[in-house]
Amino acid sequence: MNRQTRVFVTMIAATLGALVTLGGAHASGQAEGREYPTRAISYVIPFAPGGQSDVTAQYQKPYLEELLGVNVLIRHQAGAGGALGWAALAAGRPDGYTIMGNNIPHIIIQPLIRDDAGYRTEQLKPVYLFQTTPIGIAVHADSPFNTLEDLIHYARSNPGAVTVSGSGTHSGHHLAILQLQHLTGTEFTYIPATGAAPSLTNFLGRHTDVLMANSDDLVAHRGEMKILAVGTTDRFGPLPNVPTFIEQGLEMTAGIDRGVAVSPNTPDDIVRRLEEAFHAVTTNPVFRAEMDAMGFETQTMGSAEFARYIEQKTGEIQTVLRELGEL
Amino acid sequence: MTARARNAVAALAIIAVSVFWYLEAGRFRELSRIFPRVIAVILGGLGVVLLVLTILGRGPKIIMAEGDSSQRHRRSGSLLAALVLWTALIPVTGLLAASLTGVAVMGLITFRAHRGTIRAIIIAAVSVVAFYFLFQFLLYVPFPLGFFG
Amino acid sequence: MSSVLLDALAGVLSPVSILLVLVGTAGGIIVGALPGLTATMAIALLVPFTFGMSPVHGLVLLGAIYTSAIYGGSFSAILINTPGTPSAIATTFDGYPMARRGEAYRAIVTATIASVVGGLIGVAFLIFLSPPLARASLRFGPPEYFWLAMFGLTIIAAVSPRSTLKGLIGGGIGLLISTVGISPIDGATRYNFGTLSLQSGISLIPALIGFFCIPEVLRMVEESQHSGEMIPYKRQRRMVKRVLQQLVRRPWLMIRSSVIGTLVGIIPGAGGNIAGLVSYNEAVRASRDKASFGQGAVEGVAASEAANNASVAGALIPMLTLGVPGAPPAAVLFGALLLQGMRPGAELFTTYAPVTYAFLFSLVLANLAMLPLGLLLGKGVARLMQKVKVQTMAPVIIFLSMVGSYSIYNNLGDVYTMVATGIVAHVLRKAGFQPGPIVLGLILGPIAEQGLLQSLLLGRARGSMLMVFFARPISVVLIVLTVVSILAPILVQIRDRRALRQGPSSGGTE
Repeated sequence: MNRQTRVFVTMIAATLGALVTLGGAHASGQAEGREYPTRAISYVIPFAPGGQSDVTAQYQKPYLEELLGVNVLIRHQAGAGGALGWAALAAGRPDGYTIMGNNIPHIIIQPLIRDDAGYRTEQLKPVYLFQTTPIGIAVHADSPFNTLEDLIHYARSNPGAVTVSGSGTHSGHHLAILQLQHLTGTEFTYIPATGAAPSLTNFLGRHTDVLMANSDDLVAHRGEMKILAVGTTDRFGPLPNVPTFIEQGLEMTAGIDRGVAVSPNTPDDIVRRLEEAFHAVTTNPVFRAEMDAMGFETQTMGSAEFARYIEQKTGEIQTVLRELGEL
Repeated sequence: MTARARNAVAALAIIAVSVFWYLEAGRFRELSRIFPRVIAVILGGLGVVLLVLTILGRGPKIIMAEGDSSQRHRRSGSLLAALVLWTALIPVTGLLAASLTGVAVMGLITFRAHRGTIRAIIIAAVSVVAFYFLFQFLLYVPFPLGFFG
Repeated sequence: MSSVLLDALAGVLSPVSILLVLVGTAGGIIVGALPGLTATMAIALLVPFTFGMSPVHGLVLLGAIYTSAIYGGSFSAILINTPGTPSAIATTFDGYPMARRGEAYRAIVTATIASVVGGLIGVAFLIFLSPPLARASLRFGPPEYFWLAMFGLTIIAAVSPRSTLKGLIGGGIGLLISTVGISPIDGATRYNFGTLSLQSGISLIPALIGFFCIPEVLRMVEESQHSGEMIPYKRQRRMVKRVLQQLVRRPWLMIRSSVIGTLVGIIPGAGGNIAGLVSYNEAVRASRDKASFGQGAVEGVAASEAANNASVAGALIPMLTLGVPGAPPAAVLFGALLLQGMRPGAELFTTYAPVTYAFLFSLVLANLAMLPLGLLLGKGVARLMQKVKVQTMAPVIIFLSMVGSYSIYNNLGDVYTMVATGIVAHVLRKAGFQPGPIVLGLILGPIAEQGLLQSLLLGRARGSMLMVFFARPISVVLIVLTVVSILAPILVQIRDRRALRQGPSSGGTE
């Protein structure tokens, strides 16, 4: 080594040494800890930006920042239908500085159908469930089917002939059509797309006969279709003329529930702090009005209730998937 | 390696990968199996064509780089090794320290190979630190910190 | 109606809006030029900030960033052979060879002018023809996607001039790689070798950086001894005027590329990358001097850049009229509209018409702003590249590649993907395989597979595969294009050979 090289290597070594010291100081400074939260919180959406989870999070962000007194940074960690993000959360530090979108049925289905999802549903610690998007079923405006009964009748005598557009395999839409088949003994041909938007275009372009869609898409495009049923327990506010599945004698609800979760073993007081913040946001009348206008139903389910709900849904989904031979 | 040997190795590797891809697809259900199998068959077929042409001495020409090739290969080999080391260090020491190490190692390799100045390497190190903090604090990217975290 | 337009125009021409356009355009160019930082990311990052702004201002800023980031991708494509955004893939084919012979600035000027022209033509389509084009885009169903991908694969011939066989193999490798990860139709995990991070497949952007950038950096270092400088820079006067004259002589090239860009952009799921590649392919096919492509042809850069910037407006057409975004950055923009309380769809052009039109006009402004800003930045960067030593450049580029791959989804797995594909690309290059066809396969693979399987399902339900695959008008057009694209070079070759046999003096080279 010549002299110049030696100088250079020493410099790099010195920089690294300085960094180690800094890093150590940083870590010890954190341990002293004032009350949570003391620094910015990452709100991670395990899907690509621009979707409904993302939009909702963007709405919540300013409220959360005010309530928690720290910055809330929305990030996206998409991949494997959300599993990549949830696996990271399951392996994450239990400090409450990473909260992640926790969507039902996604978090439940992934580990059920694959033993390599990278996380188990019960590992994700539920914090708060704030929103439900009911799923509805629709046909073209000029379709011969006027009621759900017409459609089922036809599908029963022509198994597999009716094509159904939905957002993907093992998604909420897929699950809903599986439930419908299960309850009515029919067989549809489900055409999965890679998201709600391409599924909608497949239907609007008349490439499929039936559409499974979230309430907000149904509300936005209601002029171009006949909505036959919606997966709520009572009539859905923004679509008062559409009957529920239950009204039509089918014991099923269908929807996508959105909430947030934190890493396993996060201390209860941190969970409680976040729970309170989300509760305050969700019960804020301005926020509620914004959600209503977009076609979402707000929910106010705290951590414990959310956990019970996940358990109940897991049982239901397991039954449907098993009976249909998907497991 | 001569162009002919490279073509032959490439053809064999492609055939091997295609066979693996085809066999592996047997584990999937029908709808997941179709596409990979079609591609594997086509690719394997093209690999066979390449192999046959190479054996017949009519394989595609490869433009070889000029200069002393063994020296070139040694240098690009050590550069690749440096790149792998750099990447492997990220989860251990965090991105910044790993990258500074990477810059240093690459600097050493290029320094020996090429009469450059230390200044250039230091500029590289400074730029890396600057970009790192730009991304971390302006764009809020949560970089891996390794044992510093 | 005209009063709405005037109001919108007044909104755009306010000092704040103009400032936002300038800031957005400059920022977008820089983001686009850095490999790994894409338009999608830049918009996603800024959405929270625009939340607090008035709808017009927020959208003006985001629109300017979108369109200029796509253009900015051409800088790194030209200077370091790495598409700064996926849209600039086709720009590397001729842009980088130009830079290597000292014409980096000429390539950047070409890219700039072509981007502005393409962008403006695209916006014109957006303003005047949105509703019919959006309706037409719905005719694009699963079989059409399948045939689009097949047609796209014929581009391999154009991007692998040395050996079609190796190009085809490269395309096959890309298609093979595209099957890694959870399958689109029945959710099976494929070829992930038990790892979690491969479940989501080989992400496009890290793979792009790996395939294009890493081998180039290695080559730079390997060859630095001979030339001593990164890329040469020839000082040339009146470059803008000269390039302009050159492009004006080829109006058909610019118009064709822009129209292709707009149309491809409209198809949801096919973005600027496919637009640029298709347009490049058509430019090669229409040219009498095919051999010059890939060696640094101005037409190649112009075709790619005009098309990818036109695709920006194209992608906004279904987003604004139907509420279905045509490309990932448009999807984020869609979210931004929702946040402003504007529901994309018919209402945008009635209730929110002043905001919508202000946004559209701002895209015109942003495209115009690209001209001076791009030329200024381009000249600076091209000169800087010449001054910086390899010892600085190589590690910094690698570092930026890592940061870029990582920050897409804060995922270390993407960094590994980038490095691994880089090493594979380096080895493949030694065996004479170019990255172009591989990346083409990687992009088209998912579109082809999904189109194929959805069509199969539709065919089974309808009881006729033939009807689904071969009896739809757009499909037929795409099939004809595919067949012509495959047969044309073969016919030309046969004709050339015959000519050679009849008159050896005609000077063909075999």
